[in-house]
Amino acid sequence: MYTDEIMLLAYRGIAGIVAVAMAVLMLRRGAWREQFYAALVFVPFVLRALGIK
Amino acid sequence: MGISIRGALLLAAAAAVAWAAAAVFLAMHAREPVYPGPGVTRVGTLADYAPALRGTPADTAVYVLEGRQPGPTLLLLGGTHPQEVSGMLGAVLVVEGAQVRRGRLIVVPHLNQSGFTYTEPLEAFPHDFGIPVARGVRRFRLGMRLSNPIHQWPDPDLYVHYPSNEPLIGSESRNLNRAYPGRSNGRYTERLANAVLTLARREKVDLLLDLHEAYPEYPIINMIVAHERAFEVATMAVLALQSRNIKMNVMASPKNLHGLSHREFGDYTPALALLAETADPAMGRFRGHTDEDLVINGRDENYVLAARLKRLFVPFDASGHPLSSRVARHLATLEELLGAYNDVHPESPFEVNRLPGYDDVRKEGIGAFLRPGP
Repeated sequence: MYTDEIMLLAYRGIAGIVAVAMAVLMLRRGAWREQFYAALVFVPFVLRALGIK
Repeated sequence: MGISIRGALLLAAAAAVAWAAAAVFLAMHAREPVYPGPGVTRVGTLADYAPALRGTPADTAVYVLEGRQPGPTLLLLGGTHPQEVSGMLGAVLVVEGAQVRRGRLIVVPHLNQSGFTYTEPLEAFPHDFGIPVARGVRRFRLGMRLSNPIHQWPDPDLYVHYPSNEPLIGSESRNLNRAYPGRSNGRYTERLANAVLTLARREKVDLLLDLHEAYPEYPIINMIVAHERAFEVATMAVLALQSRNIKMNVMASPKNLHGLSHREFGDYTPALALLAETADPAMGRFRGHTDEDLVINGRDENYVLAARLKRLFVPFDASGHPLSSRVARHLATLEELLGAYNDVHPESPFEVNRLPGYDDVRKEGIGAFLRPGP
């Protein structure tokens, strides 16, 4: 595997962690503002985690 | 702590948005069809020359149009910079229409497939554009000049070209036309560049033409850039074009500007290496609303004003620079380069028929020369 492919996989892994963290935050926190901002962050990070965007 | 119902609803809404966005992004990776004409004798891929590319986004179709009589070989590259659509379309027209009696044309219309899979958000480009053909409309992707960062990431602060060590801005590491001769163990764009160079060497390419476009405020437009060994052929072709009232100029490939096709194919292979540029207002900084109409018809009132203020390197009036004229210019350049090569090498000439004519493409449009489907 080439170095840039490993870097991309690492990046996607990190994006996946952020997406999961945002999902947990949306489910666990009660403040609507935190939930809403988490929803906004969730969209691009889940796309990046999946290697789509 | 329990699960927030509102959070679950928001999560579901965000997932729906992500799903819809994913569909749009994945559609950008769909490869548009090219329908080989009767002149195509073989269809391969770049991975035939660099097996490590097989199954990767860098692999792309290679069309061979071989005449019955042996002769020289031309490598025609379109889509080096997927934003410069007349280059890709010129190559597609050759694949779908030309026939070769003597010699060989090797055509790669979508050279940097990765660049066709995205557009820069801040450029506000349409994702694709349609060309009317005999039955319906064929749609083509409008990409960007660089490889998609999803295939090569991250950009370094400074891109150091191999093997010249010339430094360039980091994002240029994704520019195929700054990556030649490339290396087989390099990054994505370098590996792609190296595969094209391997193709040129293995197929013993005699003449290489790389089709490009640039914005009207850029000095190198309506221009052939030629390696010093190709200068004679380029000059003769430009004289022939000028005599047909097609304004083109010739420029020598700078010896200290590395990574470009007209420099490195000339230095690293026996081919006569040339690059042609037309003027595309959809790429320019002065452009206004950027939509399919601008890409196809090339009309923009800002550029009319810029021409009046003498800020451009080409004439620009209300009729603009339509895509059909730019493709026609590339095809006329190809035609005259083949003719010039034949004049210099009468012992082993090309004989190519059914190359769409300059006036015909301008008058009848690109669609008249595209195959409507399988």
